[in-house]
Amino acid sequence: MEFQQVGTGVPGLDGILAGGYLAACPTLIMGQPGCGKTLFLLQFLADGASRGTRAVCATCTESPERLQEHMKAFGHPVEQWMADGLLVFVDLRPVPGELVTGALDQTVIKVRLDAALGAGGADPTMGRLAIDDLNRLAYAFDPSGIAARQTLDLLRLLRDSGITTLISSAETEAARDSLVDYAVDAVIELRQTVERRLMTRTLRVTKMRGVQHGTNEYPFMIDDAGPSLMPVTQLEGQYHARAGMVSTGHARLDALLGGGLYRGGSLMITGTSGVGKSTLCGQLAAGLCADGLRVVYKTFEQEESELTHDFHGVGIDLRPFVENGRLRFVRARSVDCGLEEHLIRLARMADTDRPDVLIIDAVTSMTDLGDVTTVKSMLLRLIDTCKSRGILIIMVELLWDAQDSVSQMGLSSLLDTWIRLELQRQVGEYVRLIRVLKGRGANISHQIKEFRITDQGIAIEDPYVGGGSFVFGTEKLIREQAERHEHTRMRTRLERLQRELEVLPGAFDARLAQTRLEREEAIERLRDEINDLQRALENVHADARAVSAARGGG
Amino acid sequence: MATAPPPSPQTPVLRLFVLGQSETVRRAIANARTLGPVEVIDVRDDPGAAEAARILATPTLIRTDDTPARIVGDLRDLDAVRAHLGPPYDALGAENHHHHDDP
Repeated sequence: MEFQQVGTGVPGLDGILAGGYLAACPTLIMGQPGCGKTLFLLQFLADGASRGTRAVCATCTESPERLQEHMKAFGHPVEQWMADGLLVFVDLRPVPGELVTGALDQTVIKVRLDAALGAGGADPTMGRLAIDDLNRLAYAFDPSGIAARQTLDLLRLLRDSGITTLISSAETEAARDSLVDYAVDAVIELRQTVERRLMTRTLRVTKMRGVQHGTNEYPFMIDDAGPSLMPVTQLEGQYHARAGMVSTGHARLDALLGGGLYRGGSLMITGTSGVGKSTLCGQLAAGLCADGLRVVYKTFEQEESELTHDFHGVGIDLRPFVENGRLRFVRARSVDCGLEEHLIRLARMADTDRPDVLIIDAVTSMTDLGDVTTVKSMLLRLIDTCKSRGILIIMVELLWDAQDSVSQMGLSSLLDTWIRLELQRQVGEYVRLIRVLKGRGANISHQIKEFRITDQGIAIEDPYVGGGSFVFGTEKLIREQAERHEHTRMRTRLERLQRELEVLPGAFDARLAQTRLEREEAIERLRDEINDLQRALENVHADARAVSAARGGG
Repeated sequence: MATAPPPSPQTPVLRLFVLGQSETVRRAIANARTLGPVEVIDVRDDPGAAEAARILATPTLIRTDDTPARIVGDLRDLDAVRAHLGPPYDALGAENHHHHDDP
């Protein structure tokens, strides 16, 4: 048999109930006083009224006026609904001081409920009915509960007539024995416990005919918008795939991340205290806002003014984005409420605000409130929630020094991107290092880079690579300086040699020219001398001949 | 010695809410009438009246004047009913003892 289901009006509950409360059947909400049963009823009615369905609220303890005040406080247009006949109250509070004598019949209650559901000719089965504190009816006339059987009869009548009914009852043995087993088709138990002085409320579906409902104990919270639960995303269906990368607005970071961060993705920034996790968050917030994204920055540690001041001090100015509404700081202290409530608040904020980016600084603040396993399972659901809504979630995990940079959260498998910031101790100083450990679907850099906080935001620099090792910080500066000296020396020598090379052939050429010149001169001189000598000798011969001739010889 | 039942105005001071016709209803009506004039209202015919009077069970007898009182059940213990209704009904009990009880 296919069961029709109706909306609960409680965020997250429809998912757990695989659709909502059973239509045409009674559902029982059971729990100790003050655990919020009535609020589930009121939201169920408001959900109906807001859909134009007649919603009838029968009350056995609280006055209708009081319940109306509750509904108004949740922002429902109670007066309008009442004027439109969409919301009708049936006052089932006993009138004090009644005498009971002899047989009685409570069918009149069914008559009154039918009249309210069917007023104006409406079909009673089309409406919704809630009966608050039903167990009180059994004790309407005397403390021994003589009307208990009558109350059961009433429930049977409601069930037979196919009216969608939500009943609340205190958790008593009588309620358990009679109501749970015989009279209702679904049972939701609410529980509240106080742990570490913080109130935790949980909900469990212990019976639901014909529906594959969630079976765990689900935390819920109550605030000024009524009760709500963490959404169960696996029942809500499809994830939006990580869609499109967004730039972090920081070229070096983008390069490190293989292009940027995915919308709907998740990023974890882990590191010890003082390593610059928040500064990196500030840098990311500024870059993403400048990209036109809407960012919510949830801070557990510092106030908005402190944070913006600190960021401003390192050249990251977030104030324009706060002013133009792209960036919203949400401050919470971990001790404000229990872990579940924090996470439900975040999930609901993600749902109502629909930011593009949610930054949580730091998720480790929540481990104060629960053991690591609990926190992890809650974070998992928060990541799922963000993913299913296409929200980029950026989380900060503070590591203790003693943890040796090993994450305690063990969330790696849930994360798309994981950045680790480290402080490395070197001679006389610490240097900050940044490393992308994981980047699903992105061609990330696997190199460790130096991460510096400057007065113009963060700077990411390549390490000194040489001599078979990576060197950072001052050591890197010293090595780089030594290297620079060596470079200069070599460059100078090179230049000198190059100049020499330019000059040298000329010099030889000149010398050659000179030699050639000297050769010519030497040859010339030799020739001149030879000529002179020959001429002189010839002259001598000629003279001798002239003398001989003159003497008649010859 | 006994004072008379209160002077009956246009609508009786006593109202009896019943549901349908049954032995219990007939017994309750008969018992109620021993007290004086009674307006009998079937809640099926006038659920609005039941709503206004916040009736949780039938039969319910209501004294509607300025000393209100409510009695739930078939009114078999008329002495208790009279005592609960208070003056002047409480004075009638001693002489009138023919109340309707279970067969």
